[in-house]
Amino acid sequence: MIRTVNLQKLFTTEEVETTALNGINMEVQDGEFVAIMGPSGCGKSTLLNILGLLDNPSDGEYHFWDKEVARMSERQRAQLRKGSIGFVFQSFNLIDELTVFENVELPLLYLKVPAAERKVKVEEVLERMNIMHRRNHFPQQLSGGQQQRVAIARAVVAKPNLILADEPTGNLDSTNGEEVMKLLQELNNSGTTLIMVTHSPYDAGFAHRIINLFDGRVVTENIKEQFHV
Amino acid sequence: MIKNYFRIAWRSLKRSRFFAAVNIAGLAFGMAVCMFILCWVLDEYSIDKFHSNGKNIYRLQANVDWGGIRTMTATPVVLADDLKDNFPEITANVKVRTTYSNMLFKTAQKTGLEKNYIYATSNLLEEMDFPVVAGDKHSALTQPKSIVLTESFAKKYYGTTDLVGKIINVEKNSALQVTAIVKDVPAASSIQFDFILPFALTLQQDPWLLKPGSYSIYNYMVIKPGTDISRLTAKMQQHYAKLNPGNKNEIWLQPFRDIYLHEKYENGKVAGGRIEYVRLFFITALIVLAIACINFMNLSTAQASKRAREVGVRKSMGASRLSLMLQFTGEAILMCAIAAVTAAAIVYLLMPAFNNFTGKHITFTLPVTLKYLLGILGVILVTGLLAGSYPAFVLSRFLPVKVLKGDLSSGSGASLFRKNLVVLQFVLSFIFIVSSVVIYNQMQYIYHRNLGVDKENVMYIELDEGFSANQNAIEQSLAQLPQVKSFTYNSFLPLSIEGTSADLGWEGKPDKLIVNTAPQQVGYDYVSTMGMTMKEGRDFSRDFASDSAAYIINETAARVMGMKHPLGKQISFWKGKGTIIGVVKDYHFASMRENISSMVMMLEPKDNGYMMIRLAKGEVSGQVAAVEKVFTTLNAGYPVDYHFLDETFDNMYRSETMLRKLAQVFAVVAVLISCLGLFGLSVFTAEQRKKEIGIRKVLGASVMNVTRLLSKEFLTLVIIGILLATPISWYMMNNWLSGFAYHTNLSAWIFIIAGVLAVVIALATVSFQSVKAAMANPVKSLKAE
Repeated sequence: MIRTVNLQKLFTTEEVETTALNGINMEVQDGEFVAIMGPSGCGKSTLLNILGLLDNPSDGEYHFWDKEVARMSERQRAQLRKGSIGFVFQSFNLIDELTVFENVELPLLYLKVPAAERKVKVEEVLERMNIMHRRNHFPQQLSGGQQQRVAIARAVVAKPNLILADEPTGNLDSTNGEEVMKLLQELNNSGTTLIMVTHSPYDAGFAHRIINLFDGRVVTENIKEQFHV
Repeated sequence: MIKNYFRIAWRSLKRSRFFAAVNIAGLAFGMAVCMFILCWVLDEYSIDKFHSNGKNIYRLQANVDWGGIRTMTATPVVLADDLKDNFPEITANVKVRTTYSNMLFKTAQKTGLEKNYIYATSNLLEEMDFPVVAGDKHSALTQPKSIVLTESFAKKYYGTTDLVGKIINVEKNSALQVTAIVKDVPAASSIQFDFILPFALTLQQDPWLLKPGSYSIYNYMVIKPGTDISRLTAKMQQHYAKLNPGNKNEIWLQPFRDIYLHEKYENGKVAGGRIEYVRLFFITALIVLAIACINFMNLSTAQASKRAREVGVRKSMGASRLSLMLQFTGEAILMCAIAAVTAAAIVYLLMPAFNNFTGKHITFTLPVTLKYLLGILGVILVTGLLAGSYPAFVLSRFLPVKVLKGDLSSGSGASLFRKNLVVLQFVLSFIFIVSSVVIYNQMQYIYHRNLGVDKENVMYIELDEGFSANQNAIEQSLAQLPQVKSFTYNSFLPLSIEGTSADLGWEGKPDKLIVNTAPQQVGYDYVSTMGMTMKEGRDFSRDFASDSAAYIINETAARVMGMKHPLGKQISFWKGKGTIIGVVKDYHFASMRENISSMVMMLEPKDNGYMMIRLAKGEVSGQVAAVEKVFTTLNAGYPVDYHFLDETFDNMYRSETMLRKLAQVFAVVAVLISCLGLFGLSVFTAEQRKKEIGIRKVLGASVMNVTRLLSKEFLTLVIIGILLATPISWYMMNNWLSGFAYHTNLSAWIFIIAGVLAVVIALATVSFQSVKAAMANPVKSLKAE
């Protein structure tokens, strides 16, 4: 599904040039669950943003479903993102003005899914995330764990093939964190490819494979269990 | 999706109520002012546009050379008749005469002096749209002893409009037959009347109107459709020159529909008129709206930081930039619509006050309402697009990678743009402040300048034809009243002598020199009663029988004639050759827009235009009642038509007074809206610099330090605005003042005071937010990182 060749990302300011990613070669198979670990500033989030088509690499190749996407324009990337990638953020990033239902509905609106169908899909996913009873609440009225469940619901409602999670448990206590990780695992079990950035070795334990980054390079890859396509 | 946008727009509006209220209030304020001005402008443009044949009607005008070209808007009867006879292109000639004399109406219920009337030829009702509701429009004005009344005038005096065929008594013309009733004249007509008398009647009374040199009649020429007007004018001029060899006068046609807005002439050509004010106010309306839009942009971009995350989320879900721009522009239009509804409500509620203020009669009735509604809709769309486009541009540009992490810096380019907007706002506001101060000063100057005439405590009565028979008795009674100090007469009010005469002659006058001199026919003791000062010589007096052929001149006349010692010298004027018995110090007998010219007074103790009465100091209403009583007893049957000289003086500067009030309103509105914008920007900056403020405070900065840091940036902008606006406003106001022969000077303190005012207001606005930001707990802002 994903293949990068010698991926580079430089951040240039007037005086300094910082190398965030330095020749990343990696591959992710359909249905795989990959965790990316490493100390702060090693380039984890930068890599995730590039993989999520939110950002372009400075150099190298990025094949998304055998399509070279590294040089795509913002508009083309937006088009490709729509419906095929879901995001889960550490700080949830729910829109405060929208209710739980409306937040989850948002990706479907951008995909121009008809209203009746939207309702069915949103309710289904809210049911699955066990948050149906809070459907008319606003994000501020929910606990952190509930907010993250809404965020996951929003990420999966359009049935994307890839979900990118940036420290999904970072703002949660251990109970809620555990719950979220189980949800993600379930999603993966049902066939969704998952790439997750995390600091927590425990969370990483849920993945099939752990990629360790240091100073913008891949240092080790621990294959926890062999993944079969 | 649209529903989703609306939902979000509405909820974010609700969530930041204060911000939304400030934003909408600013916009509504600006829009209301803009709508008021547009209503006024539209109304000005509608004057005389209701005549269905209006575009074929022209007014005959003549440029005459009387020591300088003057455009006569009234022309000789015989000239119009001759043109009508010789040019088949002219299908009709409507003659209208207006006079200033009162006419007495007397019925069992009501007595009154009326002066709002015209004399007109019978074709007035055929060629122009003054609909006849009863009677025959073709013959209504053919007989000299007939009269046409408007509906409300008929009701006012006779309680009915069922009057056609009836004979009514009007003093002077005695019995007149009502031949038609017409609808009330719309406010949009420059020709105003309560009743019409036949043109034939005025010709009977004033046969001199038929003299070729009598420029007294408004001649409206109806021209065949499709006629080339410039060719016709050329042909008419040729014809005229042939008939009047050696005469250099020019005749021309001005479109009737243009006259109201373009009735100022220089060198025989149209040189503006009310249109100048219309344009000025229209531009002002646009500027006020622009200030309001700038404000909206600033406040919306300030709000943008709060919406940044939403943009990030939407973009990560694949929203395109275009769809985001549409969303935010749509929100702006929604806000504009709310503001417009608010503004429309303000306009609707305050329209009576506005009408009162401007002397207009604007009402909201169909189909006018539709026109205004469309206008309002247009304003909403344009304002929404204008004001919403920039915030939409900024918001939609946010990079999801950054904003989702909380990085909200939108680049130095955008902030520079915003700063420029604030500078522009303050440039405009400062110009308004300076203008209102200068106009105010000039008005104070006019009101407090020594006129050379004491206008206080002078009441005057316009004399009617009953007066001369009772003059002696009235004079005797008035002389005995303790409330009356003295009285006299004059043909023109002392502050507004109309017309000039070229008849002044003196020994040694160069042949070709024409001196335009203001004529004033006065009663005894004129100079002392009017509170003027004699430079030398004496006032007209009953003690000198020879005064009937004597003259009093002003200082300018003496100077113009080159007389160092004018007393006893001979001049010739309307009374023939006569002796100068006095020189009066120059006084303002015309508007201060004009220089004082030469003036000659001559004695006319009987049969004059106005009686001027100087009242003793004391309670006015009692004094007026005493004078009124003398008139009602001794001149029974005539209502007393009295006025006060100081009020008449105020009326002379009505348009300047309106300008002054408007400039003040605009200045307040502009400053208010600009401050809202500044406030918005200060909130934005405080939000952006939260972390910096937190760090500074942790390192020991005091509230004062931080406040100063934040306020300094804005003050710089305001000061740049003031510096840029100073030369512009200096130029503009200098230009305006030069329209007055007598004016104040633009002194530096005006700019200093306006500048200090702007800075103080701006500082007060900004420091509120700065102090709030400075007092915030740094732990909070740093934890958010």
